[in-house]
Amino acid sequence: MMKRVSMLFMVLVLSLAFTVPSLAMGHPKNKEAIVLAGFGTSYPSALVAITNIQKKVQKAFPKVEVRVAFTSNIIRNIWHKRQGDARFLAEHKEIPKEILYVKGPLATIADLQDAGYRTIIVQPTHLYNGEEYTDLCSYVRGLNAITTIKKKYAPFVKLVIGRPALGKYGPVHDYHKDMEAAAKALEPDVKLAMENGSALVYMGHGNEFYSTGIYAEFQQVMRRTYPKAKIFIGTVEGFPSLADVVSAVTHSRIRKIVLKPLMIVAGDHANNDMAGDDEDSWKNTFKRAGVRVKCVIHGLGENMNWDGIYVNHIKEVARDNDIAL
Amino acid sequence: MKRKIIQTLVLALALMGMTGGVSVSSTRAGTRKFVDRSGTGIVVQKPFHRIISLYGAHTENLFSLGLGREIIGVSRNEAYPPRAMTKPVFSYHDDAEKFLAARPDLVLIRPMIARGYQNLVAKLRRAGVMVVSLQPRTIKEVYSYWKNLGLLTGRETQAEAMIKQFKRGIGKIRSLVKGIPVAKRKRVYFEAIHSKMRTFSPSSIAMFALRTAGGVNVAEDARARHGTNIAAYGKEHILSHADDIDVYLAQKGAMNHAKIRSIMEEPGFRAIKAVREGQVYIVDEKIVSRPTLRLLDGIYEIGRYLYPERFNDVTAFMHIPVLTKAQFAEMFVEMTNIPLKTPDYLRDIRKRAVARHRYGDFRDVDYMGNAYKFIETAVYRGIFPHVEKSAFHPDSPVKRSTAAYALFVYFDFPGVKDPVTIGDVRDSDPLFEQVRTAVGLGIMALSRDGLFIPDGPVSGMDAFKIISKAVQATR
Repeated sequence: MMKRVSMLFMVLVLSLAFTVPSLAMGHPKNKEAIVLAGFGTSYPSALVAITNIQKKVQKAFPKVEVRVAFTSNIIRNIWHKRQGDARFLAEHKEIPKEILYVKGPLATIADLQDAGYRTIIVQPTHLYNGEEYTDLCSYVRGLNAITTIKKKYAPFVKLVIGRPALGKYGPVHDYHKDMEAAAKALEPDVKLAMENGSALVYMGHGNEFYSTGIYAEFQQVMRRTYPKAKIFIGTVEGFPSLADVVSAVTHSRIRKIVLKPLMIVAGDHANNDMAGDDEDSWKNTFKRAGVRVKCVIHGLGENMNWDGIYVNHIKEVARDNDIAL
Repeated sequence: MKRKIIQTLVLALALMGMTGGVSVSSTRAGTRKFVDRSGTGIVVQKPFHRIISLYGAHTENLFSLGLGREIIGVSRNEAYPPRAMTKPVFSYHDDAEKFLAARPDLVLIRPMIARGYQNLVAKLRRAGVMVVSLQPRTIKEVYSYWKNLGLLTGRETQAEAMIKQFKRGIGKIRSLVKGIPVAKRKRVYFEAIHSKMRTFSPSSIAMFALRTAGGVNVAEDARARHGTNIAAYGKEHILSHADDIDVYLAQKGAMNHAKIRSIMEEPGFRAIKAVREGQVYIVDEKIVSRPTLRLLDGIYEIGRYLYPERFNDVTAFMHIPVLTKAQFAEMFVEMTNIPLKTPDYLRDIRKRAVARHRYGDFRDVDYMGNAYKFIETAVYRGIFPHVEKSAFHPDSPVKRSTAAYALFVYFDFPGVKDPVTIGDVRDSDPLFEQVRTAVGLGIMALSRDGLFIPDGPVSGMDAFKIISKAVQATR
């Protein structure tokens, strides 16, 4: 009997030693996490666009840690100042604590890594493969360049980045398909414009240093998806410019438009550049050309269909990299 | 000897006590003296005529005194009057040699520069350049400050005229608010620096502006910080007046990047009556905090926010048979209470494309007069079609089509349900939609034979009626 017990004990000890090597030998743990990275916003009223995306993603991956990261230093600082503001906290119970302590992508990834999340998917909330997305890719590439460490101690098992809403270039995921999915997600906007007897005009952010041709292409995709609607897309920076869109609209003899930001958050751009009172705001430039304007100041993140795009992109980047979520 | 020293000391102390650089009568014919803000005794033997000004308010006042050629340099980012933009730029960060190369005989600074850049001041003085530090803190000091500028530049008569002009303006504004009973006066919190929750001290120029416009300062108990015009107040203190604040006013400038939305969304501010009722306004620091004639514009602007019906009085225009473009601009801006557009800092003006009109570009508008501010406000708001870069044609009659255009741009009109046939404006006309909307909504009428007469004139009464109808239609 005694012999049998000691045998069992031996087996137990041995099996423990083999099955939990990480505990026994100090190996890092591995858990999965998702980082949703975007520019951010300081306005509590506009934050819903971002928290909606987070909720949607969390719901799709209930067992995975989902964190938000803001790339803008100024905006993060504004939130940090609010941490100790009792009044703000009392008035804005809806603001998740995570936003008050929000960090940049680099720090968010580092925190997760510290806490044992060694498989991390960074999913940008960006619209297209432009400057900000490229910057974010640089961060991820930089971290993945840590290769001299022994494999078992490497900081990440996997650190990967999903593609922006309108896709990215390359043969793996056809960006045309991403654009088709994005166009489908925008159905409520098209419906709203058509019910209003108006054309739909989007104001995108654009960029002055990167080609913004994708906006023009997306306009075409939107028109193909909704052949009965009149749809135009312009950008604050780059091509097609406001002047391009105004001349296109007036050339088509359109007298009424619904104007909406093609941006994730309805922040300063939407309130000032688009719907502001200056003569050169988008609204007034259209009105000066004899076009009646209805401004809709809601970010794309407030549209649940749109948020679903990010869920799909996370699923796909996970599949591509053999990550089980 | 000892007695003489004591006498001099007493005199110097008395002079310093009067602060702000108070002018003193002559000792000898042609020689004038005063003490500047640094406590330096300034002796003016003959007017200075090669002047570098390192503060926008000094520059503006020198121009108001009728100087032009004498101003050989200004500080960065000055844009008013527009002629200031044509002057070479100097900064207190520059080397003294840069100043000396321009051969100034007077450099005008302010205490902030005197304190922070003592080396520069000393070097200039050693080279024989007169450096004078001026910055009035109260309205009384403003008058003596203007006099001293007159003294320095040989424009004493003009300085007196400036004071008279200013007092006349103040008199006019006071008569506008005179009838308002004390109980009905708007109570105002005037924000100087949002992030630090600071207001202005009760004796400051900004608070003089607020009081003159008929406002009641809720922060009367604020105390100035280190002799400045800014006073710490604190959020709790502001909120202790929450229900008393009818209007929340904030200055906007380099010191305070005020935004209505930030004020509205400031934690705790929902308790403030003005925030709840949407009575939050922004006013340009350059017209409420600076000791220049444009302070009158600042007071007027505050008045328009507090008592729009009193300050936007357009009865004087009603009898004009043919309104000019300048008159129409003023009527429109007043009747719609559009905030006055003030010149931005030079760097912001330069951000606009060169081909476009920029504030101060109109060669046919007097930028030291009264009409320019309404004209530029209207132009920046986009209510005039086909604006040329450098000419506004202020005295040409405003056309009916322009009025229709202005209404369409400014107001958010509902659509016109029934089609209207207009005899003389075709569908292809660039102003067709604007005219069709004004006619279709019954705001502007057609002649008996169905003509709009787009090039026809607009009388003061016409303008009053159509703008009033437009306000009604969108209410």
